[in-house]
Amino acid sequence: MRLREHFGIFCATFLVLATWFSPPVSAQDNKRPDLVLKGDAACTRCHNEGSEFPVLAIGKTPHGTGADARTPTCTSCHGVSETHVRKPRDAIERPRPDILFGRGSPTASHSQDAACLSCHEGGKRMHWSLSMHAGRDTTCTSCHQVHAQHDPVRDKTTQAAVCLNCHKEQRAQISRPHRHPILEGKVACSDCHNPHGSAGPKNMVRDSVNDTCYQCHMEKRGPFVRSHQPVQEDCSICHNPHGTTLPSLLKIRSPFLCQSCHEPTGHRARLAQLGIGSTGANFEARGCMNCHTQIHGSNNPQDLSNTRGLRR
Amino acid sequence: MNGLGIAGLRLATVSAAVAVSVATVRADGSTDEVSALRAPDSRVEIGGGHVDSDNGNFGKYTGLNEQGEYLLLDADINRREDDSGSWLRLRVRNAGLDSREIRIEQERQGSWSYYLEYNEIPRFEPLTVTTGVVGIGGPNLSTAGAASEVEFESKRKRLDLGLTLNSLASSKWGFSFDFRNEEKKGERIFGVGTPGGNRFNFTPEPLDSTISLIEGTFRYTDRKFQFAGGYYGTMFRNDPKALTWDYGDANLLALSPLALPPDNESHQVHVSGGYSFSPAVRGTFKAAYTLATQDDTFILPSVSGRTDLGGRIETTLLQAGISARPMPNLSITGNLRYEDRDDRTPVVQYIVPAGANNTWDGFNEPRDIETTHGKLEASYGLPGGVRAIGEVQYEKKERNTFTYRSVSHRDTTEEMTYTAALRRTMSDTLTGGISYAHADRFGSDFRQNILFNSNAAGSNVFAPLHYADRQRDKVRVSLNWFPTDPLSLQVYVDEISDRYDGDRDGSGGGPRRGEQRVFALDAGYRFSENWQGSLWYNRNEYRWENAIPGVAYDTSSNEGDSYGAGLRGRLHARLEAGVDLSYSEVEDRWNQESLSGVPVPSQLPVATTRQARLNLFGNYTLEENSGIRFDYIYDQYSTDDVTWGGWGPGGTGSYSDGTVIREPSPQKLHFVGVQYFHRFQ
Repeated sequence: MRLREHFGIFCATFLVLATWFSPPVSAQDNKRPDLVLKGDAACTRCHNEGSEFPVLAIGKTPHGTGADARTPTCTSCHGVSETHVRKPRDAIERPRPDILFGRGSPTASHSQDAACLSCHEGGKRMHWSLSMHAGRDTTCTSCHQVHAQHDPVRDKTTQAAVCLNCHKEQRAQISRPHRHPILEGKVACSDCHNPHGSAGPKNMVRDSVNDTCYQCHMEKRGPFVRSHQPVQEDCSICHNPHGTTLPSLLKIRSPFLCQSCHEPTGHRARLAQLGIGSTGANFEARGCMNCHTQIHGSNNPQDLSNTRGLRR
Repeated sequence: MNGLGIAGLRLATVSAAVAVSVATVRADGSTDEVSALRAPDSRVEIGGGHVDSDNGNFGKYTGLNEQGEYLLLDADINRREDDSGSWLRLRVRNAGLDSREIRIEQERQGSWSYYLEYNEIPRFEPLTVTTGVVGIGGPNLSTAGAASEVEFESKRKRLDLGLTLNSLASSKWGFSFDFRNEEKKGERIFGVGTPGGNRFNFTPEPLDSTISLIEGTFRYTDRKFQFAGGYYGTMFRNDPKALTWDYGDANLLALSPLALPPDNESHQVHVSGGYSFSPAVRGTFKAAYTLATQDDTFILPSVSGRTDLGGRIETTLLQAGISARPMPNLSITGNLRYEDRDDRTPVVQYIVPAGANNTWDGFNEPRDIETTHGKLEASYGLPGGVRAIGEVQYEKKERNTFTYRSVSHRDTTEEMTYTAALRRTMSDTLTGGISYAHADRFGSDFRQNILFNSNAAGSNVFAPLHYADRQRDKVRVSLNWFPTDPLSLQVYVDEISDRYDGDRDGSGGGPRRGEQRVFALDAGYRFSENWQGSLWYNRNEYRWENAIPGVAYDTSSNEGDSYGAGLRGRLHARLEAGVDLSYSEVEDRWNQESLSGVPVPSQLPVATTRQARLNLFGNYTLEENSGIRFDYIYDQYSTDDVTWGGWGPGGTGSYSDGTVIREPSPQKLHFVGVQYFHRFQ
């Protein structure tokens, strides 16, 4: 009897002390508490900020906003990953998570994307599955840093550097003297392109190249009394929006650009030459536009002094 | 100083500091360190900068274009209430510069959000203008005689606001509204000219316009089906509508007034959606109808009796696509896009031609363009993480025309493109791809150009560059190699060769060839945990060949070499620093080879443009959450482009009013900036 009493007292004392001195535990189980996301204790017991793959910074991001019921858990994106959490006895190395992102991932690109698209498939990502990026195995994490508060591709001052990692031609072009203010962070790649795919050509944010340009250059839209056909069709016939050494971001300098379409009669067939002379000032200053000033179209209904040629 | 692209280390600094401070997270996670790790960071920077000389190129878009001192003030504030999931974000960039911007955003994550943004986008004209023209920036110009240097500047002041509601009737329904109002004011270099006596006047264009964009979209999102539909409207308002001048030059006075861009607007309704038939099959679509109008009052009376154009363009867009993985290794995508731009502007005779044999008849020319584009792509997974890709694209464009033309026309152009590619992405050491594409553009017969009144044959020699038959070959190679852990190498080659059949009469005239070649090499190396460096090189080449029968075979080329190097790391426990160096040299050449037997009088000079920039930066930590940021920039720009070189009194071409425009070269400047920064949560 005394033995049982002593044993009961010992057990009660142990329980009180254990409860008093033990760390806070989850109400659901007796394991480590979650640090950022629901159920992340299994992950954060290894992945703290001192580990090779720190994860806690996700708490600084919308993905780490626990009050939003839609906030994912670690396993929402990486899969349950049972063998990664509990390394099998016979495994020499710890198996990777079920879904792994980034370079060298064995997870198929569409499976990586599916983890993100399970929440983000609508809106501006509606056309992702048909985009060139998706078709060339460019995954969401090829561009986005999901665990960081500052995702460079979502900041217009740092976005271009991410895009130019692959788009090497544009890396040189955006530094040309005639360009958009991309380096200054006043225009971002995503002002014109939707990298997630769109119904327009070249991933344009609007339905056409022109509609995209009109967002800032609406004075070129017209229609005009006197229109210029390529202007109405596609701005990029004459302009390279990423930058050139030619004024107005022209692809080819006047008069050679103009002479690539216009029938070679009269002054249209003249040689390019410095100065004015008999050749008509077609190379210096504004080139052919020294006279044909309204090259994008004119809304002047009169024709005084033969000005119908986009001259006033 | 975010706008200068020189703040690259900012986040690295924050991350590293936090990482050090929490290297020992306690098992229960109840420490302040853990709270700090998961709470959003904020940062404020304030300081000053000095530019040592006036410049046109460096400060064109920032406002750092004049010698002097500048206030540097930036802030990035992020607050979150964990209990409610409410965010408050405030971003201030370049507050002390002409490129200032501020954005405030509040959000109850998952429920609603709104933002308000003010943004100034300046453009300081890099050319120097010495002129006696007065009234610049306004609609009426005259000359005062005495010339002086005048600064040209335009600035966009943009106000954006938006509202998003994520849960309307249910969590699946949402609504977003965005509005932008952008005022653009200033003046830009502009001129008028007439062959009558070779007279050219400098007539700066006043800029005083407003662009408005308004968009409202309803969204429905569930696991299988997503839908969006709404309205997108745009509006352009311009004032003044006409530019007049009187410099006492009868030849040029006849051109006054000049019509400035007219008011116009557009209204679009659109629906788009996507449906996932299964995890492996998804379809998407978009349909949109846009009405664009332009009915601004003419600046002068018209013999047509109309007081405005009555411009009306209706555009219909239909797009549908599907992607599928019928087998684990096989992916197929198909996309069809149809756009009909129907210009319904009334066709009226605005000018009554006086004589015969004109290439025009005085009617306005509304432009209809109908585009059909289809694409089918198959991708098959091979062993070793390699994918084989085959793609076929077809595009057909149908354009309208008019009886009398100065440019040749065919009703239809079609283009077939075939692409084959191999790509490897799933590898730790070597990824990349190689692709080859061949495109063939052809079309219907060209119509005969005839002349007004006589109906005699006009000139029928050229096929315009976007109408001409074309054979295009394109090769692209990209490799990402990680031979050892600290070393990464990237090689990129892109080559396009176009062969045009740009003549209509067998003369060999018109567009002949186009070439583009890009070569890029990148290397990155991580010397240690604290130091990393990078090198890169770009070679860009473009070439365009066009012939004028009996006159000249013209070749325009643009060849540039660009180099870059970067190094950044930790010099001391408190000091992080870095350096970026870039240099580019671009040559433009224009060669005219005589086809007339008479030598070309003189070849055009080669234009060489050089740009170099050295950027040093550092962050010195004073206390745990504060420090000093230091920036130094040396920028050099030079060009011998003759665009404006001879354009002025003393040259062979001159603005008749005496205006002289020049591009200063070389331009060299030093910039030094020092900012105190404070981090907090």
